[in-house]
Amino acid sequence: MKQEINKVSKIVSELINFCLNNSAKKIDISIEDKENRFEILISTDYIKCNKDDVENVKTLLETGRQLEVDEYYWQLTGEDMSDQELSLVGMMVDEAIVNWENPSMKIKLIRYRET
Amino acid sequence: MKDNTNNNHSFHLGTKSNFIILSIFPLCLLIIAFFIDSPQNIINGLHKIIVSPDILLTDYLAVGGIGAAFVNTALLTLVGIYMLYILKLKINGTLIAAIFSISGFAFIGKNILNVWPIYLGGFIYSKYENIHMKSIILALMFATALAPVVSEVAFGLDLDLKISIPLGILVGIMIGFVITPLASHMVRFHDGYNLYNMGFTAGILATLITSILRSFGLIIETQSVLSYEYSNFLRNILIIMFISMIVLGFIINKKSFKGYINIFKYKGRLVTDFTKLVGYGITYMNMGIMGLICVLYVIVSKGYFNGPVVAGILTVVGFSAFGKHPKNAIPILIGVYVTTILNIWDISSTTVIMAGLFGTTLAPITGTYGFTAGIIAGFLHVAVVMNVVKIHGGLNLYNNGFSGGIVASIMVPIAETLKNRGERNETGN
Repeated sequence: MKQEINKVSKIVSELINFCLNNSAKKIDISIEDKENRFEILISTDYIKCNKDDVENVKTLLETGRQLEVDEYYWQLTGEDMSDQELSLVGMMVDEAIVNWENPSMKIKLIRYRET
Repeated sequence: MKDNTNNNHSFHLGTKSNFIILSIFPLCLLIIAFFIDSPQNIINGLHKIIVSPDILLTDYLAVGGIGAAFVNTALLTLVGIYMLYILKLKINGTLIAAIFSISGFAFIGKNILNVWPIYLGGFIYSKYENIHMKSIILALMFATALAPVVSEVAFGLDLDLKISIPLGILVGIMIGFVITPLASHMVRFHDGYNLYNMGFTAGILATLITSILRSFGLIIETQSVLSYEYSNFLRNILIIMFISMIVLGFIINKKSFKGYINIFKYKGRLVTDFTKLVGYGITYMNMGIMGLICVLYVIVSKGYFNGPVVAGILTVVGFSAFGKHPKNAIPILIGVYVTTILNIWDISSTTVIMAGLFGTTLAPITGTYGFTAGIIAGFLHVAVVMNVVKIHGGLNLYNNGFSGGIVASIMVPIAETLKNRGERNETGN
């Protein structure tokens, strides 16, 4: 359970890095610990990006959970100011929803507990 | 923000198709083995491979002959692919890297017997931690780098076999049990700039094991058992294999090289999965191109194609689905090549060629900090890798990954500081 919490913290840290790296001035974060999953919602009123950038973020986050990568490389999440880590976040979550209404962005991530 | 969008020009490649593609190489090796060698020779050779000490450098082509070495590689690779299949994993860049690493190192230390205690240890760990085997199979596949520990304890220490064989198995199980959390932790040491993270982890663990064994008066020394007679044959097989990969990638990419150049913009730092970022077509193309570059490097260095060199090439090819491409790997090769002209090492020797090939574990340093940093990384890697093997006595097959971890952990903070300083100077702050 502790490791699961650490992984969620790392995912959130990576999302914060992503927002700040793209000129966000205010970030709201919500984390819900539900019965079988964690739900992470991060929203910012301003983020500097265009339509292609958003498609790119969607592609990276919607990679789909890959348990083997999750278990081996999770400690790298949140450690680098690079978009590549969003790819790792994508491999650590089961569902990702990205809403962009220029200039605001909301990202919802769902991570199911391993059973 | 950078554009990391996936390649939309590729045909969709299903999971089964990837399993079939990855199975072609080991199946071909299996068929070739029985064409060029007799079944009796192969069985005798496999027996020799199993009971021989497997510490670096032990070329199974020299120990058991080409037929047995090919069968050993084919069986280990097929078993690895089958495990991924029954665990219902989708083939991605890191799994391709793991499969090719197994294929390569099955020429120099992993055999059909000594890997199992490590897998068993991992299975026990998964039960202990109540996690699915599919979560740790990747780490376990890479962890078979320490398979020589099993063979060395079982057959190499001149102990009574009734004691040494169970002891070897027990040590292997213990390695499998601890390796997943260790490898996950160690990745922070080099911050993902050493692609062979398991090499670094296994190096640390092997150093501990070797130290314990030596403290009891048991001798662990490196050896050099190499083959030279199959060089041309191996070179030709590799060239055919890599050209086939390029053709395959070309076909998957809708008979086009379109988009290949996009792969150069990726730094290659862990985790850079090309199958997700640029698609399977370009990934297979990149693997083939990197394979040919490696073959060319060996030819230019006037080296022989033998077990260790094939291991190096196949590992590079595997990691060309997971971070390596010509732009971030070639500077390392140049760095190693130039260094070995200037220093005491023989440029054509197998160990130096291995240093060049495996040195590309530092490709993310080139990708992030540029060409010159890549040259320096190559220089440092040669210096370190030729020395660290003494620490673990050759028990860690991924010796270059161990060295790469040390070089990356020293270079990255310094390069980052210099880079930040340069950026501050540019902005005038």
